[in-house]
Amino acid sequence: MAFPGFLSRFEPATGLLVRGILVNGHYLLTDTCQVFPQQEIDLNWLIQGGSGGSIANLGRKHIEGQISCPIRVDQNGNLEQAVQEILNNAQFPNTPLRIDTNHVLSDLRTTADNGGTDNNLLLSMDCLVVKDLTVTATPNEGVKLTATVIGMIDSRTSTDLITSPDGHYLGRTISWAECDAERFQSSMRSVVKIVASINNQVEIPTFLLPYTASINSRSDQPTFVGVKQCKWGGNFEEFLRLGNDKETYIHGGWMVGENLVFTFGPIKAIYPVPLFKISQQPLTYNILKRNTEFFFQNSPNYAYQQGGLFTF
Amino acid sequence: MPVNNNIFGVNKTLQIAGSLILAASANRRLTMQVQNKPLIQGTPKTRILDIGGVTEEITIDSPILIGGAAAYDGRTLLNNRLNDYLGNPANATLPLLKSANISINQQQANVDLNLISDGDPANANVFLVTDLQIPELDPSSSGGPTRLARFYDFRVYLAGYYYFVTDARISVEVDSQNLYFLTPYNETVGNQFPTVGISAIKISGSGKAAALLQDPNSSDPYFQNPGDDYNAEAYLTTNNYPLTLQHSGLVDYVNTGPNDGSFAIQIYNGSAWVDLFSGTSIDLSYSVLSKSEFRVEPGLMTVDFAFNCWVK
Repeated sequence: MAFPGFLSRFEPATGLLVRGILVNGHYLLTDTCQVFPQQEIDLNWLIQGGSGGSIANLGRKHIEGQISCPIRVDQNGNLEQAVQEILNNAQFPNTPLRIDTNHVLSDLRTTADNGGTDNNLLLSMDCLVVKDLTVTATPNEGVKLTATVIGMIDSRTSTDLITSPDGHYLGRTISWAECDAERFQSSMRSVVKIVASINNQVEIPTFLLPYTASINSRSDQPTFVGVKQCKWGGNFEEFLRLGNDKETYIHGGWMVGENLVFTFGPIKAIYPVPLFKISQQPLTYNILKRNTEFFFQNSPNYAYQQGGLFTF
Repeated sequence: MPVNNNIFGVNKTLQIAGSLILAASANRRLTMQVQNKPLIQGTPKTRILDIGGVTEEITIDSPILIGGAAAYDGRTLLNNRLNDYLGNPANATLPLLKSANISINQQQANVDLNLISDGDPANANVFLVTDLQIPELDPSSSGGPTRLARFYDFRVYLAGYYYFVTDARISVEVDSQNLYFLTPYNETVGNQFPTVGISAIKISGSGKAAALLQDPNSSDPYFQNPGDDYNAEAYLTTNNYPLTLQHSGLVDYVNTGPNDGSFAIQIYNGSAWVDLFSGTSIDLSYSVLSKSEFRVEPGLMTVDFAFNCWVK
C-alpha cells in the first residue's frame, strides 16, 4: 500500500542535483548562483490605433548576476582555488573569468530572430569580470564572499559539469575566530564586523555592425567588456566600551602609512593609505557601535598588479 | 465618470498623404502672417491689420521598424517622399519633405521628419488623424510580429569608417521656397496659400565611433582605412588622414568601400541587407570626410566625425 500523503507522490527533483559551479575550471560550492543571460525585452507604444502592445523592443543581451558562497579551506588549510580566482579577477579585471554551471541555459543567436525555446545550450560563460565584490566577516555568519559578475559569452563552448569532481571535499568554512583587523594607530580589538569590497566600473558597449558583417554574424551581445574604474575599500564596525583605544574616532580624510590590514583566514587585504569617510556613530539603547567606511587611495596602475589588494 | 479613451493618441492612427504611419509623436503647425499696421490714423489703437500668406509645417518622430508593420515606419515615409519628387517630380504631392534626420545608435533607430504643405484645407489628406487600423500590427499576420530596429539590425560604412561605430546620423535637407502669386485673371477669388518649390537636395552625415589605439582583432585601428597601412609615405597619398584632403587639380574622395562605395548604411530586413534609402534613386557612393573630433575622457575614447556626399 502506498504511503498516505504527499510522500507517496514524491519524486526526486532539483534538490538532488549538484549545486556547485566551476570558476575558471575550479569547483566551488555556492549558497546561490544567480548568474543568467539578461536582455532588455519590452513593448513600445506608438500612435498606432489602439492601446494593445503591438511593437516589441529587443535590446542588448549580456550575462550578469551574483554568486554568494562561504569561504572555505581544504584539509591542508589551503584556500579554495575558485575563491582565489574570483578575488584575483576582482582586483585584476584585465582577463576574463569563466563560469560553468549545470543549470544556466542560453542561446547565442540573435534573440530577435530566434525567440522561444529552440537550441537552448549549456554554454560556458567565458567572458565575465567581477563588477562588485564583498568579503564580509561577522561573529554570527562567518566569512562570506559575494561577487557580482558581468560580461558575455565570447565563444560557443559547451560546459561539461554533470557531477562534482572527485576528491573535492574535505574542507571547512573559515570562521570569525580566524579573522583579524589592525592598523598602525589602533590594534582594533573591538571590531565586530569587517568588510573588504571592490567596485569595478564596467562598460559593455555595443556598436553598429561593420559593413563586412554577414547576416549570420549579427549579434545582440556587447562587443567589448571594458573596466574603467577600480574602487577598492571596505568598512568596519567597532563597539565602544570603557578602556578602549583612545582617539580612534575617524573624522575623515586620508592616513598615509596607516597600513590597515584585514585578515580573513588565509586571505589578507592590505590598505597602506586608507581614505576614510567620517565615522558614523548612532546613539541607541544597545551597545554603541561605530561604522567607518573607507577607500584605498593608491596609484593609477595598482589595479594592473595581481595581488595588489588580496594576498593568500 | 465616463470612460473615454479617445483622448489618447495611442487610439488613433496618423495618415500622411494618404499613407498610414506609425509615429511616436507628430505635430502640425499652421500659421498665418498677421501684424498690426499703424498708420498716421489719428489714434494709437489698432485699426489696420496686415494679413499675409499661410504656412503649414509638420514634424514627425517615427522609429524604424522591422517585421510585419515595417512598411509603416518613418524610413518608408522618408523614402516615399523622396521618391515622390525624385522619381516622379511632375506629379509630386504635398506634403513636401523639408528635412529628415536619421539617427541610429545603441539605444534607438529613429527618423525625425520635417514636412511642409500649403495649409489649404482642400488638401486635408496631407495630415489626418484617423481610426483606421494597420492589420500588419497583428503579430499573427503574414508578415509576422513587429519590433523596433536596434543596433544589430544595421551595418555601416561611413566614409571609410566601419568598426566600432556607436552612432550614425544622416541628414537630408531640401531647399524649398514658398511663393505667393497674384490671383490669376480667370480666378474669381484669390487665396493665401503658397506654391511650394524645390531647388536643392543635400545629404550629409555624421557619426561617433570608439577610438582604439590598438588593433583588437585584426580589424582596423582608430581611423585607419581598410587596406591602408601606417607606413604610407605621406598621409596626403593615402586616406589615413581623418579629413579627405584635396590635391591640386584633382577631386579626392573616400572611395575604398568594400562593395558599393564609401557610404552605406544598410538594414537587415529579415532576409537580406538593404540600403536605408532602398527604393529610391539616391546613390551615395562618394563622400568626403569634413570633420574629425577626437575626445579623450575617463570613459570611452571617441571620435565625432562628419561627411558630405555627392548625390547621384
